[in-house]
Amino acid sequence: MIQQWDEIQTMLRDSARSVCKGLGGAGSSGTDCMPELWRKASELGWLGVALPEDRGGSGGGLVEAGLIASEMGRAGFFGGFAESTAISFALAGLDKRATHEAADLVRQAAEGGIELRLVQPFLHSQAPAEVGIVSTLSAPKAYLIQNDDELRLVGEPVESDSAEEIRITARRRDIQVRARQDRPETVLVEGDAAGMAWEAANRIYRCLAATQLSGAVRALLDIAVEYSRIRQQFGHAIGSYQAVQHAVTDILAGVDAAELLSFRALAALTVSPFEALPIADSAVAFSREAAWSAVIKTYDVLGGVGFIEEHPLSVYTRGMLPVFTSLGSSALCEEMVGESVYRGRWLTYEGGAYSS
Amino acid sequence: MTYHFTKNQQDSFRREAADWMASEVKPEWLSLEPESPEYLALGREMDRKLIEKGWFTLHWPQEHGGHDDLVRHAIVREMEGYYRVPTYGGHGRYIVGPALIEFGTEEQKRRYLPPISRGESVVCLGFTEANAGSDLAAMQLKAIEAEDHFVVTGSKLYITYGHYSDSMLLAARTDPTALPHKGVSIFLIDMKLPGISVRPLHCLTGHRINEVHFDDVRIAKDTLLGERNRGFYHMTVALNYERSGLDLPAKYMAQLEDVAEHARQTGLWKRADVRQTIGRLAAYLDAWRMICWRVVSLQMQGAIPSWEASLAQLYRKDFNPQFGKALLDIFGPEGLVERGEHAAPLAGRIEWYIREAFNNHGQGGRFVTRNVIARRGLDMPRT
Repeated sequence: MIQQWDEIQTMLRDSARSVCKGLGGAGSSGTDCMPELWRKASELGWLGVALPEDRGGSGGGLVEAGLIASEMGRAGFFGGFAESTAISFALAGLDKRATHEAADLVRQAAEGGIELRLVQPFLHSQAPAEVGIVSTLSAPKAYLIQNDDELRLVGEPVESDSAEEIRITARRRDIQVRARQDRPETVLVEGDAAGMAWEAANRIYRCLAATQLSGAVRALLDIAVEYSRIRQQFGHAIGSYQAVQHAVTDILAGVDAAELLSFRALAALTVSPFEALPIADSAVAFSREAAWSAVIKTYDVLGGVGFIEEHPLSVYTRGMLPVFTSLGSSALCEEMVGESVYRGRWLTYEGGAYSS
Repeated sequence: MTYHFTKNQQDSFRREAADWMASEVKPEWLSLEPESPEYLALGREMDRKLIEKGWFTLHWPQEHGGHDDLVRHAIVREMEGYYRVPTYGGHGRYIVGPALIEFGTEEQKRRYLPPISRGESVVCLGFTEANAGSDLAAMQLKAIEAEDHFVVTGSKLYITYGHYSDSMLLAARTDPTALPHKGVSIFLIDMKLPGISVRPLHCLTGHRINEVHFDDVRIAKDTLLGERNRGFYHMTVALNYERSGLDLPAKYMAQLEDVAEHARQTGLWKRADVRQTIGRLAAYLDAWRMICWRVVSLQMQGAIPSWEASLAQLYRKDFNPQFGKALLDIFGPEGLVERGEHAAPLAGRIEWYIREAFNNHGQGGRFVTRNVIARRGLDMPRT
């Protein structure tokens, strides 16, 4: 397991960082940048970066998508890139088991013409047409639901403003949508493949979201370290005090491991998207906890200034909260990992995830 | 990501190593007291078998009997941890051997490397003193030059393997007038020299560490390893050779699987808190393992891991207390029943795991490790 980005991955990461930073991210008004971000993502081929070329993608993989998701998180963008990419990748992997409509949908998503969303991935309500907390970009959206042994597209893609919007903590960038019950539905996948695709899309989404959270934590770490170097109290920079040093060290420790684990999981999912890989569950559970701890510790370091609404820390916090909820509770994430241990599949598991 | 050693080759070797170690496992590996004569004999036996397989010094250069193969070495380390292979020393193979290769004279290499690579020589590290733990530069033990030798006076503390080592990598102050970091040299000395005495300190886990006293011990000048008065630098580099610590998360993965299996058999698994706790610890172990592999990855790129290796240590130090608490929560009073008692879960291993949770001091405690990472990894200011 040699952890080193290759040249193309490094270029992709640098480009994503530059583009996202150029759009302002957490330092700007946020929502206003989202249509531009989607346009850029479409232009630069990010939306199909994980897909094979014969599906309209650029032949990369989920690691490449993770790099982009991470840079989006770092810039404070928590839009629908992760979810749309995850669904596209899962549908594309079904090959002939999916309908032509599904293949068309994947192509549209890769080109940026449509944004794919999962209905109710981890929310408590079981109402079939209720959409969870989503982050809008600017493309029309297609909502997918799983009913019995079918994966369905809920109605024709609609503009987001035709759905009911409910403001939530992340404000303008994030809405809660209740899809209309009277829309026509299209069956995309039938039989066992429907469940496989649904689970794979969720699994991939969760790992990409984990990298997005880790990207945001990188930004928080920079904020905390910079502030602790310049903020003077009791005659010294607060970063010289052990308590503060330990707090930022803990943020670094968490985010380093979360990134390594998430990218390792994405590499494994690229090869085996339909397999319940234990490392994917670990990546999500660990990244979620590391990110939450990082937010709290950054507030600890910054004190009152971080609590000011305009401060980037508060902006990041608002953006990250919906991502936390989309991953399910800590307990749920931990139980999913516990299941893997219960099944006795660890270091000697032959399947790639725990191999070197 | 780039894989220098192809994934198929790695998987194939991992399977080979796992299959072989699984075939060697003996129940006594988990039931014997650590460092009991029987345990150490099993450790020697496994060293010999690893040597026969050619896996003992995979990470050493080819001209010294190794294979220059950090990846396969890392895989073997992981598997040794996972199967909880008994050990007999270890500093020679991991730290002193590579240090000799880098700093030793040709004569020192000829003399010391072969017995280490054949598992015939155990080496301990003589760095820590009563008042020089986290602050190693405060060491007081002196080696004063006298004609064709040095005279060593002072004491070393917390010396692992000291009671059965053949030699010691000793750090001593050779220039009392120099700055603390600049007046230290290291020597590779025979532990049977006149004037050396070893006293036991028994630990909570049953391991023995030692006080080693030096009473005007004469050591030859050719025992000096590396440059005189640059010992602090040499020590730092030597400790960096084996800092991935990949055996440790693997060992705890096996222990956690023990706990999960017990929970499955006894019905404890029905408790949500048990499932969640095991899941949380498992995710942590996976994360820790990635941090360890990063150290290997850096070494393969020719870098010397610094704070990254300290981070691997921090993961160990933060895992231990979590694991101990989790075991107390899961097993309650039953978890305290000792080995040998009928009622002891997992034949008493749980009780031992709980005691091991407090073993967090080696190479600096949790505070010190965080300080190191803050300064080296984040360039945090000093007061």
